[in-house]
Amino acid sequence: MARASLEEIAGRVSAARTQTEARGETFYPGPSRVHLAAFPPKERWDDWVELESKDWPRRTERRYMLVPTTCFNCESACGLLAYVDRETLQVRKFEGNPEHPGSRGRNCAKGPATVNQVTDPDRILQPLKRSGPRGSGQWEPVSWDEALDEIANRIRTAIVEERRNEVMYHVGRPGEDGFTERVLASWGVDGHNSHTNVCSSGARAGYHFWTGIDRPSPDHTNAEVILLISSHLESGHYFNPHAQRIVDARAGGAKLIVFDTRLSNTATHADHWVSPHPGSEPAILLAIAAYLIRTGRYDREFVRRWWNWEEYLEAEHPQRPRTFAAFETVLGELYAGYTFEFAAQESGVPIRTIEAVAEAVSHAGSRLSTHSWRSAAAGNLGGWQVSRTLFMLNALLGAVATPGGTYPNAWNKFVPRPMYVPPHPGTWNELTWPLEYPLALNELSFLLPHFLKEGRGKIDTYFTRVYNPVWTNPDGLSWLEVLTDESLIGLHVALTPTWSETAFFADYVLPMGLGPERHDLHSYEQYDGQWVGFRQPVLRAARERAGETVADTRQVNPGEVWEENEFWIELSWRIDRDGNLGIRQYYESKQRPGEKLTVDEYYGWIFENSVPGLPEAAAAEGLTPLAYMRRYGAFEIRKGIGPIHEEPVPDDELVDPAENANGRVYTRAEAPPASNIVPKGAPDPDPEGRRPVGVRVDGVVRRGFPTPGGKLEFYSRTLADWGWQDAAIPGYLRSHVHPDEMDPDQLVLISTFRLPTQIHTRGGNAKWLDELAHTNPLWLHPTDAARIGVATSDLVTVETEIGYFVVKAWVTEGIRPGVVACSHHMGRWKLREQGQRQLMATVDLDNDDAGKWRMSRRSGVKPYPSSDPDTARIWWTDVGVHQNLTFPVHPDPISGQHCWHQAVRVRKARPDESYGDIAVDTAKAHEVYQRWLGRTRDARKHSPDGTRRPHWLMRPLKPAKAAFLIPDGDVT
Amino acid sequence: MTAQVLEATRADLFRALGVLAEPPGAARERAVHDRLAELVGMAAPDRSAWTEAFVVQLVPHASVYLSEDGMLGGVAADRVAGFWRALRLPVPADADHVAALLGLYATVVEAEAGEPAGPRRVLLHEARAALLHEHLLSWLLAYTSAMSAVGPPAYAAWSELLREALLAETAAVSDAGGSTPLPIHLRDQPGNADRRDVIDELLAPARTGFILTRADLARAARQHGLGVRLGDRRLMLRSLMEQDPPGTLRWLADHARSWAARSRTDETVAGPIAAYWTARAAQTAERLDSARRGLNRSERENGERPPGLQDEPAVRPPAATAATTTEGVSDDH
Repeated sequence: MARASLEEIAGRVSAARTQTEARGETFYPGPSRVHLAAFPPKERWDDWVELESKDWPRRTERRYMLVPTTCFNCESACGLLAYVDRETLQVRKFEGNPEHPGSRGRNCAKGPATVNQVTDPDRILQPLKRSGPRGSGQWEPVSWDEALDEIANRIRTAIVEERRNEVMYHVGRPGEDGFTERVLASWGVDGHNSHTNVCSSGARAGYHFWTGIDRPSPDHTNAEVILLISSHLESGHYFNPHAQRIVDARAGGAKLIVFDTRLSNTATHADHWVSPHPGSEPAILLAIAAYLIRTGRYDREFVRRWWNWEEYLEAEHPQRPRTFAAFETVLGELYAGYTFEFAAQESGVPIRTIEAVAEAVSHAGSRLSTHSWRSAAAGNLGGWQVSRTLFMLNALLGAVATPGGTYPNAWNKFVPRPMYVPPHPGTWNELTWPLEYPLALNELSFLLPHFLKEGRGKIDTYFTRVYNPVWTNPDGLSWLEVLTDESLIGLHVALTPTWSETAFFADYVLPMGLGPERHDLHSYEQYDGQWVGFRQPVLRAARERAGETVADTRQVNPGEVWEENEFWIELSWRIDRDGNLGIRQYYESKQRPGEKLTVDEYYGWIFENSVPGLPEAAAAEGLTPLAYMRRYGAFEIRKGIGPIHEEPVPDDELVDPAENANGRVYTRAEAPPASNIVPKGAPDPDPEGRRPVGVRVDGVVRRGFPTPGGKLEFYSRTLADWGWQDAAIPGYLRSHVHPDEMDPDQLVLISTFRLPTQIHTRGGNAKWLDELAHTNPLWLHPTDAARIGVATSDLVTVETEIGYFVVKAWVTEGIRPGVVACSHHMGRWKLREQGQRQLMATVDLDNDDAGKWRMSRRSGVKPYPSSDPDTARIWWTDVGVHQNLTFPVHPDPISGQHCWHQAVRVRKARPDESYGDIAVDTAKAHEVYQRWLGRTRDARKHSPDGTRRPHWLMRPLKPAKAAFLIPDGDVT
Repeated sequence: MTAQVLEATRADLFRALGVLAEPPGAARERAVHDRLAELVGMAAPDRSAWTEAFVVQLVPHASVYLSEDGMLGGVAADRVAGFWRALRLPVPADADHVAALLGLYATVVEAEAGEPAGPRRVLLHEARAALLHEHLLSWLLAYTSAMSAVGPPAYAAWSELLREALLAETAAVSDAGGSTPLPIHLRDQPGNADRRDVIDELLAPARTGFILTRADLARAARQHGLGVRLGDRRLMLRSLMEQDPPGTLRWLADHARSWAARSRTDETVAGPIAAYWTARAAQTAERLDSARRGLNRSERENGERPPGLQDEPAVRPPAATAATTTEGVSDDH
């Protein structure tokens, strides 16, 4: 028989592919089939067969249902596939979800280690209520009903008695996009308190003052040059999704520049490793900027069109002509002093290295991707200028929202509008947003103990949720002092899947689900695209796939472990059972009026109404949008977003427009309905109430940026107007650990890095991760070690302003002389046997009632029998040292960021000092707090308009505008 | 059928052929291969057939056929990897594997078809033509020819279909044939004057113009009544040369001539590339004949083993005898 023609054969293949993919199935097996194993094709996720590894050499087949969820071990939110055993309905393992657009099927060690956390023999499985004094370790099991009723009654009473500011929710890792903020808004409380000021608010501030958006979204994949401040390849904020794209770019020839004082794993991959003296990073970045300016290697057209140079000239150089040529002259003058020699002197980095980096950056054109998140921006006084000066390089090269450039994150993120959006609360909580810090990007969370001690307020009901301030924050013993004082904190409810140093001092410990045991929705900027990811209780999804109906996640979670969505809905319902407080309306089913909302209804509504393209994609597979998300766990809405700031504003949005002298255009037209409610700056309307809609550039009204002027703010009038004219343009603020600020015998301690496989409190109950990383020796340069007289493994005592800690030395040339480094994410402790036994030392903790505390180690970790045979194989005893207890608070007066770096003295430990010893004087800690408070410029003195804070700035749970007014009598 | 649909259809064929060059895998993955095989009209392959085709007979990496030493990797593989990079694509571990290259080609064809008319489409078309010319046609015509001859039936059918598709594609993509310069892999091939081990050279297809498979060597042994030594092709060939130098050289020259003839038939479509393979095979045949004649003369006149095969045009004796080439081939091994 004659063979079919080539065209016929090709047509058959093509038709088969079309038909197969129309069914939502995979036609071709995977992205790379030559060496890399294919992912299980998605049409086989209901019944996937693998051989049982433990039965080797027998070939026993195991059948699995593969259910997607999202990792909760860092903020990257990588996709996971749970392998649910079809016989036992237990999760056997987690691997990557190939359908996830951000992580693309790849995970770091923390993803698969989720199974350790699920099976952790020490996890909390039922609600517990304190039965002795707070912190005594005496607990009794209680029912969820009992706990909910007491908590609901307290909150209801506080609301009714107008003590709304006494309700506070303190969150560490959010892992979701706004659900809980909306809960607090529905209660009408300004009670959101995030961890961000011990984390990223410094970097956020630098980005926000430029773009009106507080995060960057580097398009690493398409970059020619990638410039990272810190170790993003191993532990950065979105490190797995970003790292895999950096690796891709490098395979394509991109150059990698890493600024990191330590020789981190990331630095070892760099084409240029820059190891500056801590805090001098902006000096180097400005030297690079000055080089671009001096040599004319910047994108003049981009700067002319998109920088607010006219506003700058008007404010700072009114005598000069308002021409771009005049601005270029000024620009050259402003940065002429930032020579390579100056940068080298400040940073200790050789001139030739800085020159080489400047040269590399100058050739990047619009393909320069840059990223700074914590690191230097979180370490130094004025650290927010790190990201501000870093982004200046993008702004000079026009590498903003270009392929290979850096985007404002809001353009690469999608937060779907939910069915209910409660109004902004009408209150202002000065315990989190004090008047001394009007420009802080986030809550002054880490100052809470000092505010409470000063009598600025008290808290009736305090939730800590995936947050461990006693251990994570600086000055943890001041936290312990207020947590044990029931007159300051009436009821402490810890929402946590596992024991923590903070949970020990709670009144209720309420077990919440781990990543595969809860619902959340999220979207993060990981490439030039927008996606949503759906975290879900995998056993619930598996049972539903098998035909069962699950109405409450507690039915499928271990023990009585719950999840937060259902918890908050239930709690809110109980706060306002009769609906009189106006709260219940936000928790009522739309389909069943008067009845309680279910999570299926909540997410079902979002997926049907607020995620463009999802209903169609689901319909193509014969699924509802919710079923689609339960099946695949993620959905990509768009990619290739491009430069939104360049988009022309349609004429029909320009109703009765008005324009100010700098081209900011306002309109009376209502904003078009948006399903994406991603947070960004909210520039004020014009005096007649028109909303800002765009900015005129070369005669065309374009979308611009969400800044007051609509352009990139080289000059921040906000900073100038609120008392910081001296910091209104990108500049170099000398750090509190600048050599001029330190005594000759002091060293800088870097504590802002972490070991890649540990992640705050959450990693501590994953044995595989603990086995990989369980100690944090002090990095010490050989010259410093020789001066001190210690070698690797010798004990050294590190003295801070308020105390000391004793740790082992690690002598290495991977750190600059004059600088020492100690990883955080280590040094977990417990006061008695209760807690995580695989990564918590057992300690004695004493104080003298005058704020002098001493901690000493009773024992490290050891093997123990449990339901997990692996716990009998614990071979390590060390768990590191909890250095953060010895750090006083260092709030940056502008960003509010805690400036982590410490000026310390390091000496050989005395014979009477032991590993893990810690001493702290919290009275001294309060003195340091007061000293740093003296750096602030108070809104009562500097507010230009009688408000507490510029209204346009982003703020979690932003209150109603009226609440921004400083009460009469407070203005000085 | 619109041009865009036609292009997408072509892309699917190349992607399917690429997938079929991958191992069929375990039972579940095999279903994918079976389905694709059915669609393209070839017998369902199994793992043993795949191993015979792609491991035993014809390693499916471009560098083996395009490098000057006939080895995996090296400059040829770097050039292929460079092409992936030029397209700003991550370079896979086996960038020059036929499956990866056909998948890449399908991707480029789809990208071109999906791009509206304009400079970007032109660039994609140029990329497609360059990929076809530089990294597919440069070796796959020879490769598929060899596979058709020695591959198991399923893969012989695969190679015939691939060969037909490549030739059709070449005719459709105008830049790929005609007066286009030789692909860089072939342009930069050293001549046969280089003083290398003759065995190495005979196993470097881009230099000789032909491919020698294990099946070919076994056939040579059968035809001459020689023993076949188990091992790699180098050992097999050396063994034949040692057992019967004139007969082996004759067989090799005939093999080269048959390759010259089969490559010549492609010249109307694949122009300079086919002509290159033809010329190389013809030159190699001449050298082998010359070497054989020299061998016969030397034996006749001196009763000795071959004189210097190093004289141009000539191939040189095996490496183990390289040190004695001026005195003739040593027999002490």
